[in-house]
Amino acid sequence: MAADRKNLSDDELRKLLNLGDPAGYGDEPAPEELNAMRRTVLNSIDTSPAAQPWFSRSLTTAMATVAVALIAISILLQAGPWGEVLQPATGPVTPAEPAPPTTQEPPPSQTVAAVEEVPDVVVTEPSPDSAAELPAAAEESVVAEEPPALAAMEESQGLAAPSEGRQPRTVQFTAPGGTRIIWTLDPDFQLPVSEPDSQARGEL
Amino acid sequence: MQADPVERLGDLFDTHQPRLYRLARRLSRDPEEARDLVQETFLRAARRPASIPESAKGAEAWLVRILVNLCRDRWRRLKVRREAHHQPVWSMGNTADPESVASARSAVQRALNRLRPRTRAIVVMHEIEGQSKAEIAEFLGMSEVTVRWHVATGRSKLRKELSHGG
Repeated sequence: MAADRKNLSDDELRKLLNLGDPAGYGDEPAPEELNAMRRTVLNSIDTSPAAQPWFSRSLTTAMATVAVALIAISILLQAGPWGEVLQPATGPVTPAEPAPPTTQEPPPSQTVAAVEEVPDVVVTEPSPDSAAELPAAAEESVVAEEPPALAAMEESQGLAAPSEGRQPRTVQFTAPGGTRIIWTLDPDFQLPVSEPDSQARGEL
Repeated sequence: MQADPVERLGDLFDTHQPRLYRLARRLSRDPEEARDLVQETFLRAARRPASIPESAKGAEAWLVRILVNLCRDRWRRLKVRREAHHQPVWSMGNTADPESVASARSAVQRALNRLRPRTRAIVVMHEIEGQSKAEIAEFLGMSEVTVRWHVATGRSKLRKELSHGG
Protein backbone atom coordinates (compact mmCIF):
# COMPACT_ATOMS: atom_id res chain seq x y z
CA MET A 1 0.00 0.00 0.00
CA ALA A 2 1.28 3.37 -0.84
CA ALA A 3 0.56 5.62 2.06
CA ASP A 4 3.17 8.14 1.34
CA ARG A 5 1.31 10.37 -1.07
CA LYS A 6 1.01 13.89 0.14
CA ASN A 7 -0.74 15.35 -2.88
CA LEU A 8 -2.80 13.61 -5.52
CA SER A 9 -3.16 15.28 -8.86
CA ASP A 10 -6.60 15.75 -10.31
CA ASP A 11 -6.08 12.85 -12.68
CA GLU A 12 -4.88 10.57 -9.92
CA LEU A 13 -7.79 11.56 -7.77
CA ARG A 14 -10.21 10.83 -10.60
CA LYS A 15 -8.61 7.45 -11.23
CA LEU A 16 -8.80 6.60 -7.57
CA LEU A 17 -12.43 7.61 -7.34
CA ASN A 18 -13.33 5.54 -10.37
CA LEU A 19 -11.37 2.62 -9.05
CA GLY A 20 -13.17 2.78 -5.75
CA ASP A 21 -16.54 3.71 -7.24
CA PRO A 22 -19.16 2.46 -4.78
CA ALA A 23 -21.51 1.78 -7.65
CA GLY A 24 -19.05 -0.64 -9.15
CA TYR A 25 -19.55 -3.26 -6.49
CA GLY A 26 -22.14 -5.09 -8.50
CA ASP A 27 -24.74 -4.83 -5.79
CA GLU A 28 -27.58 -3.50 -7.91
CA PRO A 29 -31.06 -4.53 -6.82
CA ALA A 30 -32.31 -7.80 -8.15
CA PRO A 31 -35.13 -7.75 -10.73
CA GLU A 32 -37.63 -9.06 -8.17
CA GLU A 33 -36.58 -6.32 -5.79
CA LEU A 34 -37.00 -3.71 -8.51
CA ASN A 35 -40.44 -5.00 -9.39
CA ALA A 36 -41.52 -4.81 -5.77
CA MET A 37 -40.20 -1.27 -5.53
CA ARG A 38 -41.98 -0.33 -8.74
CA ARG A 39 -45.29 -1.73 -7.48
CA THR A 40 -44.91 0.12 -4.19
CA VAL A 41 -44.28 3.39 -5.99
CA LEU A 42 -47.12 3.04 -8.46
CA ASN A 43 -49.57 2.00 -5.76
CA SER A 44 -48.85 5.14 -3.80
CA ILE A 45 -49.66 7.63 -6.53
CA ASP A 46 -51.72 10.40 -5.08
CA THR A 47 -54.61 11.48 -7.26
CA SER A 48 -56.24 13.63 -4.62
CA PRO A 49 -56.70 17.39 -5.16
CA ALA A 50 -53.71 18.02 -2.92
CA ALA A 51 -51.55 16.48 -5.59
CA GLN A 52 -52.66 19.02 -8.14
CA PRO A 53 -50.31 21.86 -9.05
CA TRP A 54 -50.18 24.67 -6.54
CA PHE A 55 -51.57 27.23 -8.98
CA SER A 56 -54.62 25.10 -9.65
CA ARG A 57 -55.35 24.81 -5.95
CA SER A 58 -54.69 28.49 -5.42
CA LEU A 59 -57.03 29.49 -8.23
CA THR A 60 -59.83 27.40 -6.82
CA THR A 61 -59.29 28.82 -3.35
CA ALA A 62 -59.16 32.38 -4.63
CA MET A 63 -62.36 32.00 -6.62
CA ALA A 64 -64.16 30.55 -3.63
CA THR A 65 -62.92 33.38 -1.41
CA VAL A 66 -64.05 36.04 -3.88
CA ALA A 67 -67.47 34.44 -4.19
CA VAL A 68 -67.92 34.35 -0.42
CA ALA A 69 -66.75 37.94 -0.10
CA LEU A 70 -69.20 39.13 -2.76
CA ILE A 71 -72.08 37.36 -1.09
CA ALA A 72 -71.14 38.83 2.28
CA ILE A 73 -70.86 42.35 0.86
CA SER A 74 -74.24 42.10 -0.87
CA ILE A 75 -75.87 40.88 2.33
CA LEU A 76 -74.32 43.68 4.33
CA LEU A 77 -75.39 46.30 1.82
CA GLN A 78 -78.95 45.08 1.96
CA ALA A 79 -79.22 44.59 5.69
CA GLY A 80 -76.95 47.28 6.98
CA PRO A 81 -78.07 50.70 8.18
CA TRP A 82 -76.29 52.51 5.38
CA GLY A 83 -78.58 50.86 2.88
CA GLU A 84 -81.42 53.08 3.99
CA VAL A 85 -79.29 56.18 4.05
CA LEU A 86 -78.21 55.63 0.49
CA GLN A 87 -81.68 54.90 -0.70
CA PRO A 88 -83.01 58.46 -1.00
CA ALA A 89 -79.97 59.50 -3.02
CA THR A 90 -81.60 58.09 -6.11
CA GLY A 91 -84.68 60.18 -5.67
CA PRO A 92 -84.12 63.78 -4.67
CA VAL A 93 -80.96 64.40 -6.65
CA THR A 94 -82.67 65.81 -9.69
CA PRO A 95 -81.87 68.91 -11.63
CA ALA A 96 -83.54 71.77 -9.91
CA GLU A 97 -85.96 73.28 -12.32
CA PRO A 98 -87.97 76.27 -11.37
CA ALA A 99 -91.22 75.04 -10.13
CA PRO A 100 -94.19 76.26 -12.10
CA PRO A 101 -95.94 79.16 -10.47
CA THR A 102 -99.04 78.27 -8.71
CA THR A 103 -101.82 80.24 -7.36
CA GLN A 104 -102.46 77.92 -4.53
CA GLU A 105 -101.41 79.32 -1.22
CA PRO A 106 -98.89 76.93 0.27
CA PRO A 107 -99.09 76.02 3.87
CA PRO A 108 -96.15 77.40 5.84
CA SER A 109 -94.94 74.00 6.86
CA GLN A 110 -94.40 72.89 3.29
CA THR A 111 -92.97 76.03 1.78
CA VAL A 112 -89.90 75.60 -0.35
CA ALA A 113 -88.61 78.62 -2.13
CA ALA A 114 -86.94 78.57 -5.47
CA VAL A 115 -84.66 81.55 -5.52
CA GLU A 116 -82.80 82.73 -8.56
CA GLU A 117 -79.64 83.71 -6.76
CA VAL A 118 -79.34 81.11 -4.10
CA PRO A 119 -76.34 81.27 -1.79
CA ASP A 120 -74.45 78.12 -1.12
CA VAL A 121 -76.42 77.38 1.99
CA VAL A 122 -79.55 79.12 3.13
CA VAL A 123 -81.23 78.15 6.32
CA THR A 124 -84.77 79.31 6.61
CA GLU A 125 -85.78 79.79 10.17
CA PRO A 126 -89.26 78.72 10.98
CA SER A 127 -91.23 81.76 11.71
CA PRO A 128 -94.82 82.63 11.13
CA ASP A 129 -93.93 85.37 8.74
CA SER A 130 -91.16 83.57 6.88
CA ALA A 131 -93.11 83.63 3.70
CA ALA A 132 -93.37 87.36 3.95
CA GLU A 133 -89.62 87.72 4.17
CA LEU A 134 -89.01 85.91 0.91
CA PRO A 135 -88.23 88.02 -2.11
CA ALA A 136 -91.03 88.79 -4.38
CA ALA A 137 -89.65 86.64 -7.14
CA ALA A 138 -89.42 83.76 -4.80
CA GLU A 139 -92.93 84.24 -3.68
CA GLU A 140 -94.10 83.78 -7.23
CA SER A 141 -92.39 80.48 -7.57
CA VAL A 142 -93.42 78.93 -4.40
CA VAL A 143 -93.79 75.25 -4.61
CA ALA A 144 -97.03 74.15 -3.26
CA GLU A 145 -96.13 70.58 -2.62
CA GLU A 146 -93.10 68.78 -1.52
CA PRO A 147 -90.87 67.31 -4.17
CA PRO A 148 -92.11 63.85 -5.01
CA ALA A 149 -88.82 62.33 -4.06
CA LEU A 150 -88.88 63.87 -0.63
CA ALA A 151 -92.41 62.78 -0.16
CA ALA A 152 -91.51 59.31 -1.24
CA MET A 153 -88.58 59.30 1.12
CA GLU A 154 -90.70 60.33 4.02
CA GLU A 155 -93.30 57.84 3.07
CA SER A 156 -90.79 55.06 2.85
CA GLN A 157 -89.29 55.95 6.18
CA GLY A 158 -92.62 56.18 7.85
CA LEU A 159 -92.25 59.82 8.78
CA ALA A 160 -95.01 61.42 10.69
CA ALA A 161 -96.54 64.59 9.41
CA PRO A 162 -95.16 67.67 11.09
CA SER A 163 -97.23 68.85 13.89
CA GLU A 164 -99.00 72.13 13.80
CA GLY A 165 -97.02 73.68 16.64
CA ARG A 166 -93.46 73.09 15.36
CA GLN A 167 -92.60 74.09 11.86
CA PRO A 168 -89.88 72.47 9.82
CA ARG A 169 -86.65 74.14 8.89
CA THR A 170 -85.57 74.34 5.31
CA VAL A 171 -81.99 74.22 4.12
CA GLN A 172 -81.22 75.08 0.54
CA PHE A 173 -77.93 74.91 -1.20
CA THR A 174 -76.58 74.54 -4.68
CA ALA A 175 -74.21 71.81 -5.61
CA PRO A 176 -71.18 72.69 -7.77
CA GLY A 177 -72.89 71.25 -10.82
CA GLY A 178 -75.80 73.59 -10.41
CA THR A 179 -78.14 71.13 -8.79
CA ARG A 180 -80.24 72.81 -6.21
CA ILE A 181 -80.77 70.76 -3.11
CA ILE A 182 -83.47 71.51 -0.62
CA TRP A 183 -83.66 69.82 2.73
CA THR A 184 -86.71 70.05 4.89
CA LEU A 185 -85.86 69.32 8.50
CA ASP A 186 -88.79 67.93 10.36
CA PRO A 187 -88.58 68.61 14.10
CA ASP A 188 -91.07 65.87 14.83
CA PHE A 189 -89.19 63.31 12.86
CA GLN A 190 -88.85 59.98 14.63
CA LEU A 191 -87.33 56.81 13.40
CA PRO A 192 -88.48 53.38 14.40
CA VAL A 193 -86.85 52.16 17.59
CA SER A 194 -85.15 49.32 15.83
CA GLU A 195 -83.02 51.63 13.71
CA PRO A 196 -79.50 51.82 15.16
CA ASP A 197 -78.70 55.29 13.81
CA SER A 198 -82.03 56.85 14.44
CA GLN A 199 -80.43 59.61 16.43
CA ALA A 200 -78.19 60.61 13.60
CA ARG A 201 -80.93 60.73 11.03
CA GLY A 202 -83.34 62.32 13.39
CA GLU A 203 -81.17 65.42 13.44
CA LEU A 204 -81.80 65.84 9.76
CA MET B 1 -48.37 15.33 -19.55
CA GLN B 2 -49.72 11.87 -20.10
CA ALA B 3 -53.27 11.32 -19.07
CA ASP B 4 -52.44 8.44 -16.79
CA PRO B 5 -50.03 9.36 -13.99
CA VAL B 6 -49.47 5.69 -13.21
CA GLU B 7 -48.24 5.04 -16.70
CA ARG B 8 -46.06 8.13 -16.68
CA LEU B 9 -44.49 7.33 -13.34
CA GLY B 10 -43.94 3.77 -14.45
CA ASP B 11 -42.07 5.02 -17.48
CA LEU B 12 -40.02 7.36 -15.33
CA PHE B 13 -39.14 4.52 -13.00
CA ASP B 14 -38.04 2.25 -15.82
CA THR B 15 -36.03 4.99 -17.47
CA HIS B 16 -34.29 6.63 -14.54
CA GLN B 17 -34.08 4.00 -11.84
CA PRO B 18 -30.70 2.58 -12.92
CA ARG B 19 -29.04 5.96 -13.02
CA LEU B 20 -30.65 7.06 -9.76
CA TYR B 21 -29.53 3.89 -8.05
CA ARG B 22 -25.92 4.38 -9.17
CA LEU B 23 -26.01 7.95 -7.93
CA ALA B 24 -27.64 6.91 -4.68
CA ARG B 25 -25.07 4.20 -4.20
CA ARG B 26 -22.30 6.77 -4.59
CA LEU B 27 -24.01 9.07 -2.16
CA SER B 28 -24.79 6.48 0.48
CA ARG B 29 -22.89 4.12 2.72
CA ASP B 30 -24.32 0.82 1.60
CA PRO B 31 -26.66 -0.73 -0.96
CA GLU B 32 -29.56 -0.86 1.45
CA GLU B 33 -29.44 2.87 2.04
CA ALA B 34 -29.18 3.43 -1.72
CA ARG B 35 -32.32 1.38 -2.36
CA ASP B 36 -34.17 3.32 0.31
CA LEU B 37 -33.12 6.58 -1.27
CA VAL B 38 -34.28 5.55 -4.72
CA GLN B 39 -37.60 4.29 -3.45
CA GLU B 40 -38.19 7.41 -1.40
CA THR B 41 -37.36 9.54 -4.43
CA PHE B 42 -40.02 7.85 -6.52
CA LEU B 43 -42.48 7.84 -3.65
CA ARG B 44 -42.15 11.60 -3.47
CA ALA B 45 -42.78 11.76 -7.17
CA ALA B 46 -45.85 9.60 -6.68
CA ARG B 47 -47.18 11.94 -4.05
CA ARG B 48 -46.82 14.92 -6.40
CA PRO B 49 -47.21 13.56 -9.92
CA ALA B 50 -48.34 16.90 -11.30
CA SER B 51 -45.11 18.54 -10.17
CA ILE B 52 -42.90 16.40 -12.38
CA PRO B 53 -41.65 18.41 -15.35
CA GLU B 54 -42.90 17.45 -18.76
CA SER B 55 -39.61 17.04 -20.56
CA ALA B 56 -37.49 13.96 -20.09
CA LYS B 57 -34.41 15.93 -19.12
CA GLY B 58 -36.41 18.12 -16.78
CA ALA B 59 -37.93 15.07 -15.14
CA GLU B 60 -34.52 13.49 -14.70
CA ALA B 61 -33.10 16.65 -13.16
CA TRP B 62 -36.13 16.90 -10.89
CA LEU B 63 -35.62 13.34 -9.67
CA VAL B 64 -31.90 13.89 -9.14
CA ARG B 65 -32.57 17.00 -7.09
CA ILE B 66 -35.02 15.08 -4.93
CA LEU B 67 -32.46 12.34 -4.42
CA VAL B 68 -29.73 14.80 -3.43
CA ASN B 69 -32.09 16.61 -1.09
CA LEU B 70 -33.06 13.32 0.51
CA CYS B 71 -29.38 12.55 1.07
CA ARG B 72 -28.91 15.93 2.64
CA ASP B 73 -31.95 15.54 4.88
CA ARG B 74 -30.79 12.12 5.99
CA TRP B 75 -27.28 13.39 6.63
CA ARG B 76 -28.60 16.26 8.72
CA ARG B 77 -31.01 14.06 10.61
CA LEU B 78 -28.53 11.43 11.55
CA LYS B 79 -25.59 13.78 11.94
CA VAL B 80 -23.47 10.98 10.75
CA ARG B 81 -19.87 11.90 10.55
CA ARG B 82 -17.76 8.91 10.54
CA GLU B 83 -14.46 9.33 12.18
CA ALA B 84 -11.66 9.30 9.73
CA HIS B 85 -9.38 6.39 9.87
CA HIS B 86 -6.34 7.57 8.08
CA GLN B 87 -5.22 4.36 6.62
CA PRO B 88 -2.92 3.82 3.70
CA VAL B 89 -5.22 3.46 0.79
CA TRP B 90 -3.99 3.07 -2.66
CA SER B 91 -1.18 2.16 -4.91
CA MET B 92 -1.28 3.36 -8.48
CA GLY B 93 0.70 0.41 -9.68
CA ASN B 94 -1.60 -2.28 -8.31
CA THR B 95 -4.96 -1.41 -9.80
CA ALA B 96 -5.46 -4.94 -11.05
CA ASP B 97 -4.79 -6.46 -7.71
CA PRO B 98 -8.13 -7.41 -6.11
CA GLU B 99 -6.84 -6.62 -2.70
CA SER B 100 -5.73 -3.17 -3.80
CA VAL B 101 -9.06 -2.57 -5.50
CA ALA B 102 -10.95 -3.54 -2.37
CA SER B 103 -8.72 -1.31 -0.34
CA ALA B 104 -9.27 1.58 -2.73
CA ARG B 105 -13.02 1.10 -2.62
CA SER B 106 -13.01 1.12 1.12
CA ALA B 107 -10.88 4.25 1.20
CA VAL B 108 -12.97 6.05 -1.38
CA GLN B 109 -16.13 5.15 0.48
CA ARG B 110 -14.71 6.51 3.70
CA ALA B 111 -13.46 9.66 2.03
CA LEU B 112 -16.81 10.27 0.33
CA ASN B 113 -18.56 9.80 3.63
CA ARG B 114 -16.58 12.74 4.96
CA LEU B 115 -18.06 15.13 2.43
CA ARG B 116 -21.21 17.07 2.91
CA PRO B 117 -24.08 15.68 0.84
CA ARG B 118 -24.25 18.38 -1.78
CA THR B 119 -20.51 18.53 -2.24
CA ARG B 120 -20.45 14.78 -2.42
CA ALA B 121 -23.15 14.70 -5.07
CA ILE B 122 -21.39 17.28 -7.19
CA VAL B 123 -18.02 15.57 -6.91
CA VAL B 124 -19.56 12.23 -7.80
CA MET B 125 -21.44 13.62 -10.76
CA HIS B 126 -18.36 15.41 -12.03
CA GLU B 127 -15.49 13.07 -11.24
CA ILE B 128 -17.17 9.68 -11.56
CA GLU B 129 -20.19 10.18 -13.79
CA GLY B 130 -18.33 12.61 -16.01
CA GLN B 131 -20.91 15.39 -16.14
CA SER B 132 -19.68 18.88 -16.89
CA LYS B 133 -20.01 21.63 -14.34
CA ALA B 134 -22.58 23.37 -16.52
CA GLU B 135 -24.70 20.23 -16.73
CA ILE B 136 -24.51 19.74 -12.99
CA ALA B 137 -25.51 23.35 -12.42
CA GLU B 138 -28.53 22.86 -14.64
CA PHE B 139 -29.42 19.57 -13.01
CA LEU B 140 -29.24 20.82 -9.48
CA GLY B 141 -30.58 24.28 -10.18
CA MET B 142 -27.58 26.24 -9.00
CA SER B 143 -25.00 28.49 -10.56
CA GLU B 144 -21.92 27.12 -12.26
CA VAL B 145 -19.77 29.14 -9.89
CA THR B 146 -21.30 27.30 -6.97
CA VAL B 147 -20.69 23.99 -8.68
CA ARG B 148 -17.03 24.91 -9.24
CA TRP B 149 -16.71 25.81 -5.58
CA HIS B 150 -18.16 22.48 -4.51
CA VAL B 151 -15.87 20.60 -6.90
CA ALA B 152 -12.81 22.41 -5.61
CA THR B 153 -13.82 21.93 -1.99
CA GLY B 154 -14.61 18.27 -2.53
CA ARG B 155 -11.35 17.60 -4.33
CA SER B 156 -9.41 19.28 -1.58
CA LYS B 157 -11.06 17.23 1.13
CA LEU B 158 -10.82 13.99 -0.81
CA ARG B 159 -7.18 14.64 -1.57
CA LYS B 160 -6.55 15.25 2.08
CA GLU B 161 -8.39 12.11 3.12
CA LEU B 162 -6.91 9.87 0.49
CA SER B 163 -3.39 11.19 0.56
CA HIS B 164 -2.93 11.26 4.28
CA GLY B 165 -0.67 8.36 4.99
CA GLY B 166 -0.29 6.81 8.33
